[in-house]
Amino acid sequence: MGLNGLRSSKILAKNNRTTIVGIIAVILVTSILILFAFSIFSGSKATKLTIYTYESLINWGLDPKAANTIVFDTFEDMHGIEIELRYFSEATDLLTVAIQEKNDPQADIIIGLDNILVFEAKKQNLFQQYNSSMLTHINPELINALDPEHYLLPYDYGSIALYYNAEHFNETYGLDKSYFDQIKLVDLLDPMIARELILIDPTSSSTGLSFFLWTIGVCEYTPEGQKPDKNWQQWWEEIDEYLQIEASWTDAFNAIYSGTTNRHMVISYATDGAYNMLFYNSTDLTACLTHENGQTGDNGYAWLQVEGLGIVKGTKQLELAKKFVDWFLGPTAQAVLPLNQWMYPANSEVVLPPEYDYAVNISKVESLNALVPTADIENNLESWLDTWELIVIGG
Amino acid sequence: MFFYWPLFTILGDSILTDEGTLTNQYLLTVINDRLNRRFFLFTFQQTLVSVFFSLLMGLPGAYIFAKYRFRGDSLLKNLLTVPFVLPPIVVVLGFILAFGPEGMVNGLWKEVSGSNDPLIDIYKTFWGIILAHTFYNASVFIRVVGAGWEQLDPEFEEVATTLGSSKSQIFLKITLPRLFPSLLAASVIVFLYCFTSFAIVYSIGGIHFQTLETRIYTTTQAFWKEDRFHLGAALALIQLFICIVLAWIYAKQSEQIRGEKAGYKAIQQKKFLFSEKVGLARKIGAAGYFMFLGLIILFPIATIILTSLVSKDGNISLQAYMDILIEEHNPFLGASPRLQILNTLTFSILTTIGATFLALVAAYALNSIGTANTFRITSRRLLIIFTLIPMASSNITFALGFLRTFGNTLMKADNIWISIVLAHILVAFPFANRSINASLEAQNPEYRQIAATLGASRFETLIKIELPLILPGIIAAATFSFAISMGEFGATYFISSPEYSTISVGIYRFLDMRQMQTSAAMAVLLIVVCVSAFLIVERLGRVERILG
Repeated sequence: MGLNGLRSSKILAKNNRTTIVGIIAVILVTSILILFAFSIFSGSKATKLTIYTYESLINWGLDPKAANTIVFDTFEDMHGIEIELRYFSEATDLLTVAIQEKNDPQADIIIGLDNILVFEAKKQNLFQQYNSSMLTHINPELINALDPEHYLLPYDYGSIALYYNAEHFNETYGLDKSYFDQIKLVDLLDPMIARELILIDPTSSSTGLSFFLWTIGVCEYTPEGQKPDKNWQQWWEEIDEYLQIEASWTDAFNAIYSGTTNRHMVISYATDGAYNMLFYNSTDLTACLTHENGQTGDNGYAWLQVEGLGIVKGTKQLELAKKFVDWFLGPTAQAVLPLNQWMYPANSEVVLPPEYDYAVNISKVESLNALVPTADIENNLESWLDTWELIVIGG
Repeated sequence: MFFYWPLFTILGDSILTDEGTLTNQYLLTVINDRLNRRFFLFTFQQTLVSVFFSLLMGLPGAYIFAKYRFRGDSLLKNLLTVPFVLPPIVVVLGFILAFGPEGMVNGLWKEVSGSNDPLIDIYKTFWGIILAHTFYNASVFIRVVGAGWEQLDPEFEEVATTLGSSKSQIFLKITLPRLFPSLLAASVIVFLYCFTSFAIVYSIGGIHFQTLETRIYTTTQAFWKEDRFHLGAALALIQLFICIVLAWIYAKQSEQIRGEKAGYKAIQQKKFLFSEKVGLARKIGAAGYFMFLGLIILFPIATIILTSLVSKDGNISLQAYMDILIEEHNPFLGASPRLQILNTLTFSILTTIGATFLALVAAYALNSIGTANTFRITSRRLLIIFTLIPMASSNITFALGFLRTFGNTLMKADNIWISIVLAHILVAFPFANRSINASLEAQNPEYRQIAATLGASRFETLIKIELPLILPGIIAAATFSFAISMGEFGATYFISSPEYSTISVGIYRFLDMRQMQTSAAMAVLLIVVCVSAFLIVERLGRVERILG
């Protein structure tokens, strides 16, 4: 023991050692000073509007920067304030965080909760009502599909769809458009197709959640002649065998484009055909619905997702928040949505761009939502999801 | 201290309802949940298998390093230990880049064989997790058992040989039992790490393979469950209990090891590996072993470095580095990589100061208690356990505790950084503490007494004699804290917000978005820092002391 002590002191006697320590110390102190200086001087004193949203908000167009400038920067300039955007991976994360911060909310506005998450949001009393003047430009059906009480106001809507590589299916299996124009949910259970399917986790993604409700809607709520012979649990049990599941829509969407998974069908949105046309000038990837209702093509069943924004209860920027909601539902901001958000704008005055000729025609779609009573969703969502977990993860 | 308050909150959350009544409903719900039970079992399964394979992989190395020396042996030893000092998220990235579906191995296979099916599929498989864990932990066995083996007096074996025992008999009956303490210590360390492993299981395992640790996370993220925090806390409590037990075993064990070292150290005559005295078979065996190990351990790292340098169209470029250092705002991150780097540096510096200082204080406290009587020995042991618990328990548990304790104050967007720094300090503290502790204990108390007789005040003695003597320990502590903070993922991921995220979170997010090159570039930064830190500590001779 004594020997060790002496040895280390000998080592330390060398000048290098102390110099090194000295240099390290100086670097440390200087860096700290610089960093603190940075933080003090970079904080601005302007009024801030804090907005929470999911990361894909208007970020999927050809020029996301421009889109963000139009929507957010313009508003900042108009009112001489600063917007602080905080991104989360998925809408479900938004909900989780909002509930966490309930007693001391940090956000003024939350953009992105949809017509399924709205129940929990209202139960938790997260928002305040706002009867925006812009609501007159929005189809009342949309408003009621989301929240007739105006805690959450709809800013866009879309339908979930199966987005698949038509070229691949045609070349490999000889399945062309006529097949997909009549495809039903149970057809997805065919191993040949199940192996091509990329699903999304409903517990971590609102897209996944919407598709989950789709399966429940078709298996439990369609009229007798259309109902498949399986209930929703059986459907998931069977697909579990070939399951590939991703945690978020972003993951799933990237998976089909990057080709890493060797699967060519993913749960996504009905507008994705338009996206593919704009970005790749091709129709190799396209979207379809399911057709238990006996109709073909765009007239099939789909689950509609209506997304909304709301003013957080307890916000200190109420007037500013109201102005932002009006702005976001107004023509300028809404016009950005089709090509950057790939959802249909809620404001009915916006003209759809020509690329949308390649999207599923939403006016033809038969909505599954209408078949499922909202009370059922409210009361059963927890047990549905718990059961789903057992089937898929426990399976 | 800051650690115990969140811990108590978790305790509280798990046994108290929102109204404050005592209940065991959460614990019961959690235990009765079929999924939880299944994954609880799985946690043990994967941990035991990981430990076994790490042992298998590491033991030959321990033997070789203990008995032989050769040119470059310490360099090799260090290289093989690199994964252990790397943050888990880098390990994950390396694995995915090397062995993943799009990875190097499969890519080469596609070229060579023309088939579309991957050769190795580690994503979302059991063996993928095991492989990653082994890669990460094999070196623990190499070093700890190797060091222990090195110091075994060969007399016993020599006597046995002259008495006519066979080689295998000697190994089983003499060497193995004497190696037992270091074997156990190494096993416990690896067990703890694999048991609480988050990043590896979370990314490579997918939803079908979850452990107790990832369950805590997913349970608290289940937005549709009212009690999710209570349930998560209940799970955390169970995990904590197991970890404490293991930490206690480890604490007892390291006392024993130190006891042995305190005896006489044998000077082993290590044979030079490449001399004529050593049989060819052995040479080939050793070379083969190291090549194999090197492949598994270093290949992923090399892949990371390579990936960071190759842009999408296959050209060598430093584009990724430019991106992360210059790019202003990446909408998908909500922050720029540059900001993340700045944040990480800030947090790490703050953590280093905090952890080292605390460690110093704790070490002195421990030292002054001494081992004079039973009471002191027990309280000393308790104190050791207290300081070890942070190392043993999981980062997610911390984060959860923080969230619930400081939820309203520290989690405010502006103050999140405080939570992150605190969490880092707590994770780094045990390592810093053990490092300083080792130095303090090695110190000869006589110096203090001599200085006193020569008229120096307590304070003077402290500054002029003791601190310089334990300076290597302090430097080691600081370096460890810095590296650990830079690489911390679990807790930071849980707590962070886009403005206050770190490099490790960035690596994960870029990986998520399949931006491999950027992810790799950031990982290279971490690799450089961690390896440098490690080499500094190695120079000071502290590594074995920290581990055992």
